[in-house]
Amino acid sequence: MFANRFTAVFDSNVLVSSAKRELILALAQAEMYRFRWTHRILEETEKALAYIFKSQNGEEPYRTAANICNLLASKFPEAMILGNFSDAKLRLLRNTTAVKLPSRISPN
Amino acid sequence: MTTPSAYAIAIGHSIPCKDMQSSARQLRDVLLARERKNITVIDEDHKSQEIVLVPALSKLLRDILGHIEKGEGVTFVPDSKLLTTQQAADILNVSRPYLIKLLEERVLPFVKTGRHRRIEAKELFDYKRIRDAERDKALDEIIGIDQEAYIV
Repeated sequence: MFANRFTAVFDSNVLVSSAKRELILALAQAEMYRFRWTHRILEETEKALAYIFKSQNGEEPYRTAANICNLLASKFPEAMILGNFSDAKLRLLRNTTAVKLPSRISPN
Repeated sequence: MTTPSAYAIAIGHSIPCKDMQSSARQLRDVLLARERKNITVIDEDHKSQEIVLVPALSKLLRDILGHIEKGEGVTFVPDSKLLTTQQAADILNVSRPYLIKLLEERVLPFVKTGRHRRIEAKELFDYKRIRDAERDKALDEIIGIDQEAYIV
């Protein structure tokens, strides 16, 4: 059938922007890929959203931010990466993407 | 009770070709124009036969033809068919371990055929429909919160 779809980790920088969040979640609803996040990513998202709402003098910035993140966590339970090392592993992944290209790829 | 061998099978196994797509379009246009009317089929000996298409059947055929028209493959799953855990996971767009968690938490009912767990197609599609409706509602709710709070 159609197993092994792409799976992507959504980090807080894309989840904080409402336009990006709506786009990536709509595409996920259309089953174009699977997505993952962790408790820490959602916590970071919540903090950043609260900060933005507060700086714009929104009413109840903390509660509004928590509402959004609670909805995400409760309605997409399969996206949560569980386990003690989930966040540590992700940090490792982030670091490895910043590794310099090996020298043998260069023309010399 | 469904027999253990009654697994869901994919029908067609192929993606519709251009010819199939264009004849699907033709047939769908005919069905759409003749909804609630009888259809006359003429065979090669020029003998005609009248077919009564009830609206529900006409709608089902048009749905299938609509997918073929767009070049999408179609898989039929009768409600009573038993799906494997992998098939069920694919339909829900979740991993197999996550699906097994749903079974163990009794969120999704299953039957046992020997050592294997199987999920009835109707139960799965009912679950998916409710889950997706809840998600659409949640996403709308989030958009509402965003619009009230800020626009980026």
